Amino acid sequence: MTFLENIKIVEKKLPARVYYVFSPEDDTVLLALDIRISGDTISWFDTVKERIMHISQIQAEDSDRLILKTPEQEGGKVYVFTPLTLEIYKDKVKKRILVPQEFKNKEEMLQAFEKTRENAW
Amino acid sequence: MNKEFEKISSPLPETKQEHVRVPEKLESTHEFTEVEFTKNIEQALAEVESEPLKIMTAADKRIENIPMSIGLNQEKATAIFEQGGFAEKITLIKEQITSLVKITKEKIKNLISHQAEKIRSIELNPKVGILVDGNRIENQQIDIIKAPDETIHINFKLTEKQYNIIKEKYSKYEQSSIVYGSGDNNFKLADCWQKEIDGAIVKISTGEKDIDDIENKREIRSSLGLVEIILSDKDETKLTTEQINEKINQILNRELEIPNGLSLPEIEDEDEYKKTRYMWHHKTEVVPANIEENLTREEVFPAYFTFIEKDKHKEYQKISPYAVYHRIFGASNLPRIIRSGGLISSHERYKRGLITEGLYQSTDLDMQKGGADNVFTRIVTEGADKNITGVYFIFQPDLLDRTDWYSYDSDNFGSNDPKTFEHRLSPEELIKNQKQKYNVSNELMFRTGISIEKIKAIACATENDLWGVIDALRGDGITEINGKPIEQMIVMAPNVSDFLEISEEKPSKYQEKTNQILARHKKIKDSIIHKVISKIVSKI
Repeated sequence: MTFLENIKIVEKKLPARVYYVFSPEDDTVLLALDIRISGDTISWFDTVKERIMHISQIQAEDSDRLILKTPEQEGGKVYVFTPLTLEIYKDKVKKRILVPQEFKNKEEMLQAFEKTRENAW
Repeated sequence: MNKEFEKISSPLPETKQEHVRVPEKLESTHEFTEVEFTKNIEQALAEVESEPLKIMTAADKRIENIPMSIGLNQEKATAIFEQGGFAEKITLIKEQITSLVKITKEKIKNLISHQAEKIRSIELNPKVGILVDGNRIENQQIDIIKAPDETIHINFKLTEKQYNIIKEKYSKYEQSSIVYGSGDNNFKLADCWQKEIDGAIVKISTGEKDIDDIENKREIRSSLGLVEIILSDKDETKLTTEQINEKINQILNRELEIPNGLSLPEIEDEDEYKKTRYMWHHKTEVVPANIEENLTREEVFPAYFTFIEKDKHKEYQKISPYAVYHRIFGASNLPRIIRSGGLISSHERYKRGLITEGLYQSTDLDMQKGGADNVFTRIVTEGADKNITGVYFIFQPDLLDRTDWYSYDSDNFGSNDPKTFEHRLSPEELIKNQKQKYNVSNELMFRTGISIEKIKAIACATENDLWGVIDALRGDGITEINGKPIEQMIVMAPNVSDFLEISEEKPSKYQEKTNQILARHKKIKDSIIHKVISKIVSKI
């Protein structure tokens, strides 16, 4: 049985290197690397550990964002994934990370987030 | 309120049962009191002897009080005491107790020598865990960590009741921060109240932290109950082991109102703690009659102790065969994990100074939600079918004998926030639910760490993953894990259902696949070498 309502079974990796994740119902999300959709699940590395969630509905998907909803039995929460920019970093992310840094450019910022994989246990 | 925090640390009776019974004052004949005295002293000694962990000063005091409490003449009492050979027996018992104290002291001393040497290569600050107190310190354990900046950090968490008492007491002191790391490599965990006592700094976490541009403070659940005592270990002020012991004792007694200080938990307290732990772990109010015997305290990770319910996993296996696993992000991290003794929770790593550049941009969300105190794993039961990507540790099934883990059916970020925590599952519920409908996002959180000894296999989804693991381990000079050549530990397993067979002692067919890949690789390598040699020979 699959939770998915409106899409075919897919196996894919989302293209951007780092995403900003927002959910009005879930304050445990912030960043996502290595986003992978496999069947009715989405998984990512959140800079500390692996997150996996079921998808019941993909509400929007284009190069700028992915919006999905989890099944009702898992809270029916909506998640919005947006590629991370310097503006989003300053505005939404910086105050919620362990050792906030200033970045000269986007590349430097993305590399810093990708380095968190080295600390994953 | 954190349920785990509440339950593990649930308040125990304030008045404890005396171990050495002091009889009521007797109105009796002289002959009777002599008999009574002898009987009582024998009984007291037998109790102390059978449980040598009792505090000897308390035992001494009680024995001294017996003659007076039963109205016996002191002179007569002394004569009985000497003639009966009791003095020698007491000396012997004292020696046993002293040797136990020495072992504890030795542990602290060893911080500076071999443990430090052993783990220097992985940048983890050396630590010893010491069992203490009965009902005021979580898990009845304090950690003593030697930091590279010539300080000694004593860390532990107070139980909820005690935390509230001490918070109130400390709220008048200077505001400061609990900071992990040193020099440029550091970050703030939480706000705290701070007091200096004879050169020692005592920090009590406020359980929250302020954010630069946010007026409201944010709760940091991993810091609830946290106490940090910092002692200088610089040459000019270096303390002897005895002085460290004395300082800790003094702070525990006077500042944190823990009268037993560094003394080992008394048997009654430990038994009570076992019951509380059992109820917390199994999410039940019913405790089996023989739980005191069934739960034993073991060092499940270097310097971390918890209660084990021996062979409980066999009962879980009757519900469904299962495998507990953990995903590794990046094979390059494997050598560090293995050399450090296993998987370590993020809070424990930060506490022990493992703060690398790779950590800087990590979120502090797991600290806020309380998951940071745990190692995250997942479970698969029979009937599951899901292709995987990446590299995984598969653990020995008896990992579930531990009683310090909690679980959810789906991804809850390991939160111990009360609203979420009340929906956690008992082990039986978890396995039953997963058997009924496997949920790949389930999660099991184990406190502090999982020892390398519990790793049964390293599962790789693809051949690329397998080579990544082999290269990372060989590159770091690791050729064996748990006494087995790494080639026997690494298995090909592209589906979670494979994990079950690997966990259930049937890893051979998966190893066969690994062997085939290795053999094929060797053949290709040999063939290349052969071609190169042929070319060289032909040129000659």
